[in-house]
Amino acid sequence: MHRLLFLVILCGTLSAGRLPDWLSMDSNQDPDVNVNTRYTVESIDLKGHAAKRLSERLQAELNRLVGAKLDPSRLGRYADMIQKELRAKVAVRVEKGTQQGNVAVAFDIDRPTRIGLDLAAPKVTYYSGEGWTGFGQATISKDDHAFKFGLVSDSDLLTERFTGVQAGYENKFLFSDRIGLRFDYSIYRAQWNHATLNALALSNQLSGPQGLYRTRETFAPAVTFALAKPLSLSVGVDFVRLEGQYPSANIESANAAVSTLRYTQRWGDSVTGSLHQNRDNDEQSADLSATYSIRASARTLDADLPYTRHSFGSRFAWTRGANRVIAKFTGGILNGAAPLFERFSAGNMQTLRGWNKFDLAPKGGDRIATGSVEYHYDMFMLFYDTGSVWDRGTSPSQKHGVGVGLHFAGFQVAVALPVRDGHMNPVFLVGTTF
Amino acid sequence: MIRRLALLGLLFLSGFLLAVWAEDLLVNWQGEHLHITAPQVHFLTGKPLERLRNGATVVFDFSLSISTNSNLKLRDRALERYAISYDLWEEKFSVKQLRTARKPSSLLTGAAAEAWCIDNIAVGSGGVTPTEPVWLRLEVRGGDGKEAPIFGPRNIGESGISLTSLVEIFSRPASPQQLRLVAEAGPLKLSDIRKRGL
Repeated sequence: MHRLLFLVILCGTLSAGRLPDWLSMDSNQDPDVNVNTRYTVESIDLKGHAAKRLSERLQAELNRLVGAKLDPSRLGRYADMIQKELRAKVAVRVEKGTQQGNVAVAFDIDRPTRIGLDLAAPKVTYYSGEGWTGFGQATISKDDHAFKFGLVSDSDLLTERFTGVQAGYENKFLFSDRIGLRFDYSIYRAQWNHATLNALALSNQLSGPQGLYRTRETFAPAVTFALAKPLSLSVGVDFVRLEGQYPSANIESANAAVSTLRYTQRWGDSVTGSLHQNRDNDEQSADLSATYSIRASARTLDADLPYTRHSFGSRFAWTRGANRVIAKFTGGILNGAAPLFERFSAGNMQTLRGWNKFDLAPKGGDRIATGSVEYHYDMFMLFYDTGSVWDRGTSPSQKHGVGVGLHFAGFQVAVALPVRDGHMNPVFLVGTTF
Repeated sequence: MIRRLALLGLLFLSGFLLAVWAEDLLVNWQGEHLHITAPQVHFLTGKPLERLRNGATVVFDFSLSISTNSNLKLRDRALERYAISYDLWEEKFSVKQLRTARKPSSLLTGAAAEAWCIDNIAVGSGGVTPTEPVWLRLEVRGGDGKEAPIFGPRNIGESGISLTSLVEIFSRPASPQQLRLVAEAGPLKLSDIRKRGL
């Protein structure tokens, strides 16, 4: 049908003697209109600081102009594409080449310096029985550089509530857009739940490298490599200094080499388009993200406790119109004697919702496997969580939780129930991140 | 404050005068049409010239009109569009008249290219009596790189470029980035032009 329409338009316009604007794009290619179209392009030069940020795809397309006859209209279209991609002013210059009959093309790219300030609260949650969590962050960015400062009080992620400050610097363009560099610093004061204290006391671990700490200070430089478009690898070292609680002022070191492999892929937009069907009311898309991280602490890093921590997480979301299905999985193995903040915890905003993490594993576990399935219809959501957190040498006890809720513009409210015999203790969840 | 306003006013006025600089036209008869020469009209300068030397095609629109009654009553008008390019190796200009199928005129100097454009626009007498005073007005616009080729089935004129589109262009104000030159001659009598053989 579209082909037929195209042919009708084409025949109609040709019979009228001229192509319409969108087909007469090469009017400048006519040697009568631009005398330079008889010359051959010998080089394409991208000038300006921002030129190095141009995508490889566009650079490859530009390189294909070399060896072809000059086409000013085509150059204009590429200038528009560069302008859109880099949000920069682009001017095209054509000069005499080094050999008779050749021309050299230069794209002058002028990208104004931008300074931005972004204030965000990426995590604000309440989980009944565990309390509030708040994380506010300010980011000042200038071109490829970003400086971050944040305030955190988190009772959700670990068995401790950690409260403190974060600061960091990130360069998203180190020599190329495939390499990024970041430095993160944080210092937190830890608060411990009674259940955790009791569990540690029972296992005689209140003090020592695996025991309680008063403060946790981390300096984490890392380099990220974009291996391929959906795949990136981060490599770095976490220098962690723990100030023990019993006895106080006892300093432990938990330095670790960290490596993280990330995969993110999206299907269904206009570029990849494999799942895309209809933009009107039946739009279909899918997102997949997966992360594998290994943290290895060794004596060579001046660490007091050698251990290795593997963790894996994946999330797949499939959307069609108002319907959305999300499946999540997390897994982890911790070998060796690790400090408490490295131990896995479940029964929070992300895993085994409905359960209290202090009932499941008050001092965390060195093994974890959890899964989750969510169904969203418009603002309404249903979810089912399952999994377990346990220690090596013990049997995992699989738990289940179900819940219903509402979500709107990144804000969610839900009630979750742990599935167990005897009694029901609903848990109330609210927050900007689940 | 007043001095600043006066300065701003002066700047505005000088800019305005520069933009609408009245140039002299020399008028002559060729057959049934009035042709002009405009030695003081130079449009291959500044930004348009820079763009040409950068290898771009630069389009200029020309309007030549004849009017009576103190330049108020339009009797006839000719409109032309020219595409000019600069040969980077020959270092000469090439001009293509877009409303005709004529081959372009190439290897021209800057002055020759300007003269070629002006030589190739002519206006009829518009039924003006030989003794009636007339005014001729040449207006040149373009050079800003914004002129999309006005091709399209609805507007097709004699040979592809639309007359109505050109009329439309000259009926609206020029954009600040656009070059605009105006040259006028008058009052003149057609009988005098014929008599003088101008």
